[in-house]
This record gives sequence, structure tokens and C-alpha cells, in this order.
Amino acid sequence: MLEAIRQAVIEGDADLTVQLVEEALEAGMDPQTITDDGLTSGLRTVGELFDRGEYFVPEMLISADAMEQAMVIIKPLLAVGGFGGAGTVVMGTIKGDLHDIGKNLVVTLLEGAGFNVIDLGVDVPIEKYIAAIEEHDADVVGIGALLTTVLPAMERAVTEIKAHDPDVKVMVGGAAVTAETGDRFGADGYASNAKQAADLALQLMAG
Amino acid sequence: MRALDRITAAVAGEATDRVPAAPYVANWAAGLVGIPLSVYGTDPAQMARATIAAQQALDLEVVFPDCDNYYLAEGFGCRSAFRDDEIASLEHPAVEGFDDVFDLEVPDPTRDGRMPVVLEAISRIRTTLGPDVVIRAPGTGPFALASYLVGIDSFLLAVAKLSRGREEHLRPALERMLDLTTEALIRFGLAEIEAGADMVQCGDSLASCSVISPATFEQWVLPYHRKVFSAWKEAGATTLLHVCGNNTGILQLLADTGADIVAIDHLVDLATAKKEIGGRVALIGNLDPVTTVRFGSPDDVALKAEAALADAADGGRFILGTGCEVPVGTPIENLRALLAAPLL
Repeated sequence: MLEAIRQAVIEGDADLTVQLVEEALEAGMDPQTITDDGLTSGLRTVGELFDRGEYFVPEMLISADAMEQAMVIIKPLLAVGGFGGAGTVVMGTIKGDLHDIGKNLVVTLLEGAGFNVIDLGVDVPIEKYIAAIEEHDADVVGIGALLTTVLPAMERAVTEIKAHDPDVKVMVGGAAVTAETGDRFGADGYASNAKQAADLALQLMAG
Repeated sequence: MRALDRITAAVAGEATDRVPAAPYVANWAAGLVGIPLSVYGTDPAQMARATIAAQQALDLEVVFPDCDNYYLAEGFGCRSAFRDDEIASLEHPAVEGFDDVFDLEVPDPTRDGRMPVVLEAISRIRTTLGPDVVIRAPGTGPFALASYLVGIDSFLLAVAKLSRGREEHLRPALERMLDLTTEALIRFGLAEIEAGADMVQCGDSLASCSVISPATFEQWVLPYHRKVFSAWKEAGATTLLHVCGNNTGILQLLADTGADIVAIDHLVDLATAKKEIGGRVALIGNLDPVTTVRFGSPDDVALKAEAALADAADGGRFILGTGCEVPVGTPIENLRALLAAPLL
């Protein structure tokens, strides 16, 4: 059953994923096991396929969609802390940038990696990142930028977040950003795609 | 040599006095003359004034009055906004769902969206600068444009589901959208040529191999690009395909579109691109617009430009440029260093 759920996520078949999750719950399977060894495990494989260049953004999106639709059913059944045990990440695309696909993929894969993700959406002003970090006691903050025009805003965001809370780890990514740019801005890490962002967040938690 | 003759000869693989240089300088011009992007992207007189000022400041061979991705999409009914004078962003798609796309019509470039802004700017630039400067004109690619009609997420979800053999009922809507956007881009490009453009661009950001698979490109992008370039070439324009991202895996497909010039982003190894498709099409590229051109020193730019020339100048069919648009605020000395490289 778990393998079937995994495969349904990998195939990006939302209807089948939801149906299988419902069947598993009816059969008395533990919601945490379904989440960890079915849904999350499937999405992790999707991230690996993306990293290897076998999957592209549309394929990731339908898998993320399948996982999200199943999570609607399963999330209320999970014990407190059962989802998001890896830490808390605040995510958002920097002010001036309204691109959300890449950011959404990062959010899904972070959730897949066990993080509690506070998704601030797109066009996020610096004060909003800082307020969310404080409110949710975040461990990591992820800032995305697709447009080169918003890089100055990203640089200010990294500087101000670090000044406000030196302990929070800042990761940056998105098409406009490179590892060098991230370094120059003073970020703790840079990820070139959604899978690497999830891996990076885990590394930042460990280090 | 006159700029247009140099570009034309370079594209044809004929001898030139030097390699042409044409960095992607568009919104940068607004920064140069100190006007907000919301003015640059909506007022044709200001767009022309800024573009002409950039030409004069840098002695550009090629000028490019390009603003954002939505001047054409707005003709279909998409809404965009210049928030806080950042570059325009898509605020609302043209329709709520796939069923509604059958009610859409091909917009009129002389009337709809902000296409008239670009057309008038081109015509003003041509009048002021005369025939000696090449005008490169922008155009939103059919795949990206179709995604704006229903929203990018919905569009890509539909593409993925169809490729997995699910939700076949979406196929006619997707085909209809791409037919509409292809026709809209063809008409806009023809109007730009009529207004004075020499070189017309199909810029299809979403068709990048950083986003979609080669198989998706082959099915949902290539046939439509072929139509676009064939129509524009018939009208006598030089044509350019600009798709950013790491397209190493689809270089042959990019050349298959029929574009005269294929833009190569900095994420692609230029020597590899030259080897793979440099015999079939001209290449433009590929300095990193952010790391090198925006944040590097003039010396960094000169080194990278030299390396690009070493990788791709042999045998002609090469225009030195940037992988994508140079950000507003890029130091003018860095652009001068790029433009000077072919003269050294």
C-alpha cells in the first residue's frame, strides 16, 4: 500500500494518491507512516529525479499537487509536531518578484523533508520576513528571486535579517541568484533548485 | 561597416570587419536617464528617449526597446502592474479557466495592451537614429504567453497531465491557446518590422530546459516557434530566439526553430553551443549578466568577453552579448568593457 502511494506521488496522479490514502486510513494504517513512508518518500524521489534531470518543473508540479491534495486529508490526523519536526523555515519570494512556481516547489520539498514551512508567498517586504522569523521562532529563512532587477532588495533583506537575528540561517536561490551572489550578500547558503534547497535546509540545521 | 551590414553578414557567416557586440540592454536605459520603469514601460516617448540615450552613451550597434513580459499578454486581457516601480509583474490571467480560452481573440498590435507603446517607441527610435543602428524588437514567445492566459501553474499542470496521458479533455484548449499566442506574436512582430525594427525576437522564457523537458519542448514549443520564425523571415527581418536558462539539452531543438540567431545563456557552455549548432545558426551570448556584468569589474568583463570570443568567434555567426538582460544599475564602464572587447 505504501509503495502504491509512493508511486502515485511520483506519477503525479492526485486522484489516485487521494484514493489510496483514504483506503490506507480506512484500513487503519498510521497517518504518520502514510505521510513519512508514502507521500514524503515519494516526493523525495521526485526531487531526486528533478536533480538528475529526469523530471522538469511540470512533472514536479503535478507530484507536489498530488502530495498537497493528500495532505489536506491527512494533516488534521497527525499528532502535533508530527509534521514539521525537522525545524521551521520561513519562505518567500523577495519584494518586487511575483514568481511563485519555484518558491512553491521549494516549500513542497521542504515539507517533504520534514520541515514546518511558513510560506509568506511572493513580493515579500523585508519587515514581513523579520516578523515571521520572530513569531514562529524560525531556524531557517529562504529568500527567492527570479528577476535580476530585485537583487538589490535581496541583498538588503539578507543584511537586515542577519542584523536582526544573527542565529537564523539565511538561504537564497532562484534564477537571478548564483552561489557567488549569495556569498556576496552574506547568505549562509545557496541552492540552485528546489531539491537542493531542501537538502541545504537540512545541512544548515545540522551545522 | 554599418551596424546592420555587420550583423547581417555575421548572421550569414560572411566576413565582417569585427565581431558585433550587442549586450541585452533594455530596462537599463531607464536607469541611465533616471526614469521609473513604470514610465519607461508605458510611455513610448520616454521609452524611445531612454533607448536613444543608451545608444548615444554606449555607441550601441543594436538598441532594444524591451520592457517586461506583459505588453502583449495585456492585449489578451491579462493584467500586470508596476509595483513600487519594479519591473511589471503579472497580476491576473486573461481567463479563469481552460473552458474560457475559446472566447479569446488574437489582439490587434496597433490597439491592444501595451503593444502600441513598443511600436511607437520603435518608430521614434528609427526616426531619430536613422538607418545606421540596428533595432532589435521584443516579442513574448507563444509558450510563455499561453501560460499567462490561464496562469503559469495551471498551464504547466495541464502540460504535465497531458504528457502523462491524463485529462485529455484539456488538449483542445491548450492547442487553441498556443495557436492564438502564435498568431498574436506573428502579428506583433510584423507590426514591429513595419514600424522600423530590423531584428525581431521571440523570447520564450518558460520554454527553457530549466523548466520543461526536451520532449515537452518538441511537442508544445517547436511547431509554434517554427511558424513564428517562418512568417517573420518572409517579411525580411532577422530573427532571434531568446530562451534563458540551461538549454544545453535542447540546443539542436533551438536551432530547429528556424531562428537566424539563437541566444545562449551563461548557464550553457558557449564552446559546446558553438560546436553543436554554430554551423546552423548564429549565436549571441553569453556573459553572466549578474555576476560578471552587474557585479564584476571592467577587467572581469573584458576577460569573460575575451573567453567568449575565443569560444565562438571563429567562422563568424557570432554576436558578443550577455546571457540575459543586464540589470538596471549595471555600471556603464562594465558595458563599455564588453562593447570594446571585439575591438581589441
